[in-house]
Amino acid sequence: MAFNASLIPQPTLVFLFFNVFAALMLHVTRLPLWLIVFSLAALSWRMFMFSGRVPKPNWYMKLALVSAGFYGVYASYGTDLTIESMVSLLIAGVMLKPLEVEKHQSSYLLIFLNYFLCALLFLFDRTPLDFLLVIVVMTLTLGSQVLVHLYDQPNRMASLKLGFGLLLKSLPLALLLFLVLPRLGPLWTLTVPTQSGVVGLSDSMSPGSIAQLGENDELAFRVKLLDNPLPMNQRYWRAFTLSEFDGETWQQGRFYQANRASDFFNDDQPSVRYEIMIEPHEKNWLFAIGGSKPLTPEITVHSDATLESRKRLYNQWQYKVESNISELLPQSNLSRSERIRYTRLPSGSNEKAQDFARQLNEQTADLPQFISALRSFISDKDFSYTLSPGTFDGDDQIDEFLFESKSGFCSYYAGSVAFLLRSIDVPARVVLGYMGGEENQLSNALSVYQYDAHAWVEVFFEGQGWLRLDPTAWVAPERVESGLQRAIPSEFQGFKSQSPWLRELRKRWQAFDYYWNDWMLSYKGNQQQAILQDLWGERTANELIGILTVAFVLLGLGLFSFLWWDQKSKPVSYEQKVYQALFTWLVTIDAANQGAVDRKSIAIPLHLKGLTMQGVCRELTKRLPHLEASLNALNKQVSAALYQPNANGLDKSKTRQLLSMIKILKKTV
Amino acid sequence: MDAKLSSVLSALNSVVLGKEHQVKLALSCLLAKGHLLIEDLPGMGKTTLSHALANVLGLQYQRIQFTSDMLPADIVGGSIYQKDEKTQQAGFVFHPGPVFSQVVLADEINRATPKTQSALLEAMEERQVSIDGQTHVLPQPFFVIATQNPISQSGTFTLPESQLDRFLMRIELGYPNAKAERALLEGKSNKAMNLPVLMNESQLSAYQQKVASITASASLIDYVQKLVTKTREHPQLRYGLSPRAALALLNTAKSWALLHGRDHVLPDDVQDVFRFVAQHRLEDALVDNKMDICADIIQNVSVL
Repeated sequence: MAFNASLIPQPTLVFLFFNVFAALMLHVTRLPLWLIVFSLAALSWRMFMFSGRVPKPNWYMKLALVSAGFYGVYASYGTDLTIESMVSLLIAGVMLKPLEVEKHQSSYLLIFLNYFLCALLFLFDRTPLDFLLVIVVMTLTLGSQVLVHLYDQPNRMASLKLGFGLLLKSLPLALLLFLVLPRLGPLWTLTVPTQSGVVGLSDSMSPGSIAQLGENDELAFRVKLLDNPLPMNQRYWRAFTLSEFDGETWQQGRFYQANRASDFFNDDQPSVRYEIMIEPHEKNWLFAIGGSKPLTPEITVHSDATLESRKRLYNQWQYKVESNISELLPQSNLSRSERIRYTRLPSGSNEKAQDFARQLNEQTADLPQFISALRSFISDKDFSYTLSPGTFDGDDQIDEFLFESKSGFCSYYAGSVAFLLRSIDVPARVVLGYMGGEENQLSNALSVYQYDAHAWVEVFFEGQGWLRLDPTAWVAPERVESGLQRAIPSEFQGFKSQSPWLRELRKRWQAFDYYWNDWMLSYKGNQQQAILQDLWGERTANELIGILTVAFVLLGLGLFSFLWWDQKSKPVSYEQKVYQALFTWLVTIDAANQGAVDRKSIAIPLHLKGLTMQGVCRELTKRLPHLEASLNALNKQVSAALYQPNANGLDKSKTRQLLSMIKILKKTV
Repeated sequence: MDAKLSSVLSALNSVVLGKEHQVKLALSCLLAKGHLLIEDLPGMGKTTLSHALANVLGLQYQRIQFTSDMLPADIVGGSIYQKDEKTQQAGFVFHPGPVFSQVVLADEINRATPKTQSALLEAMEERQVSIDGQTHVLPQPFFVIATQNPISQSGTFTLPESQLDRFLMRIELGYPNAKAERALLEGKSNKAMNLPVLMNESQLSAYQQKVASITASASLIDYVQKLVTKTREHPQLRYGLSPRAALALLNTAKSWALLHGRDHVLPDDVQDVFRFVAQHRLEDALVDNKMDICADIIQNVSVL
């Protein structure tokens, strides 16, 4: 029974489809419901087809199914090319493939598609759990691949064991490649955004935007402090500044690259060095505290002292920064255009608040006094901190907030205070970022979650620089001292279990996850260079690639020449050449008689297999009686050379003579 | 072919009608100094063939009908206490059993108990019998033809594979064709006892010597080795042919070549006798016992 042509037996089929189903389950959380139903229906159809209860789909049914798949993807995702829509389209196709898989040959495509589905998972998630799941599905797929080869006696358990064994055996090679193969920069970067988008800061601030983040407990980034500790109330992670206010929304203004990267960094001030592992947010901005000096290339420092990556962050990334721990961002003076931008307000908006500011300004001597008056206004009166302040519907939202509702969260306070400062022509801007960070002693890293998103104000003091003001701290000091959870326990959406066991477990998991990301995903740069240096000495990346390429090519050449030599060491003997010449002649005569056209596809019939030399001559004589004498002579010569007493086998000249004799005989036909 | 051998064959064929191939195999078995197992139903001419063979070659012939109450002594003989007529001295005297004969027909060998079977099989292999510490050499040539009935198996003791290995070949006679049977019914067949003696012992042993001297070239021995190796590696076989079987195959092919008037063995000879030498040795090893293993092996081993 030929491997390719034989039908797949039921146990193998069931196993294979379970395997396909498992690969589908890897993606189940991202797929629309209809696609899951569609896939299960296709698989069940195939199983019923096996038992003969339903017919095979013919071409127009297949066409209808494929069209349905296309339409479904279109209906779910529209025409936007997102990764999810492409993956869904692929999965719809893969799930229809079993309807065509009947023979062992066609099962191969399905198995390879399964491997592909496994790899696709890593486009979306790369947690340790995902690796575990992929290992399970890979084992199943390897098992299927073994199983389709055991076409006579499929044994599922044995196949699984063998598959798992193969996986284990491949691990050392994978580890070696992981450790020593230099990471090339991606030749092709995936820049298609994901469908759902990512949670994170938005580049404008209107009332309510941060409240949504307050309810989100996803990880934003992690910080590993490399030397000094960073006190809780200094953990203001700046992302970007908002300078344009249109009466309702604060937006980013145009900003410029700073003259020098170290403009805002002062070597004499106390500083802290840290490494940030940032989760992909599909934007360019990076996080850092205070005046910073990036220690990683590919980072731009802007004129507002914020950092930006040169590439959009579609993948996790690590970078190092050194920052001053200070509430003051040094800048000696503002340019004319900067001064205009940072004091500009839309005319006629929130007049009540503007009046209030001017009044307060007249009552106070200088800016510090004005600020402390503001502080006492906000902290003495009945202002409250809440994530659900209700909606404002008037045009003058700041007026409404300051003098009526008096409840809100960071963006309300920051926006209002910046507005009040600008009302008296003091340059001020809103800063968006994160405040806080949960410590984990095991991994020695701070975890910052989306609910730590925060907004505060920076106000310009002539000749000194930008001073950080956090009006939220005036109304709710706990938010700054101990985090959002303490500030508003009832509205907190993050992890809030009090069980010591769960807390400990979470800590350990976080630490493990951090190291996983640190070593597995971001494994490159220093760690790899250290290992490579031990192996190869001091080399540049290009030299290393050269060395490895040469090594692989040499290894491949060695392997191939061994195989070639091995093949050559068992040459076709002269006897075999003569025999083959005659035998091929016989087989082609038969095939020609039966009307075969393609010489390659001729199969040797059973009754001709294992024929002796004499047998071949006899069969040829039957078909070509007029050559009897010549064939007999030929047979006698071969037999004399091979079997008679003192036979020494055929030599080169004898073989040539016999072969030319066969050629001549063939021509006579 | 040698004139004498062909006259022997034609004499045998005049007794056992229409079984030229089997007759030839039986003769080649004898020339290769091997023992023959005939498996067939009763009345197919097993006894006739063996009797004719003994008569034509001028050999002494004994027939033992095996039964389940038979003892080893019934085959090899025993010592009996008796008085010598002349000297009047009493003592144990050895009385040889029916195995002391040049051609022994062991009829229905599978009816006897294993103990009795093994007594015969030991004699076959050793070509001598040891009783009471005395060794008695069997006559030369010594040729055992055993028969067994493949159908009625109740009350029989199947020969184990170790003992089947002692038989050089196993053949089946089968029904004669219509023409041969007609001749038989019309009384045209010869009687075994009427056959002329065509050969004497020394001539027979000369022929046996000649078999041993037939040339088996390196290429041919390669082929025999490939066949044997194939039986050991075949997925449908639990075990393969023994070295004794390999030797048996080569020897049989040699005597087959002699019967065809050649001084050298051709692969064709090996293929002709392979089934009869190998089949009974491999039957128990088969995973799927409906399979024609010998044909499969011949087809899948390249001759060169």
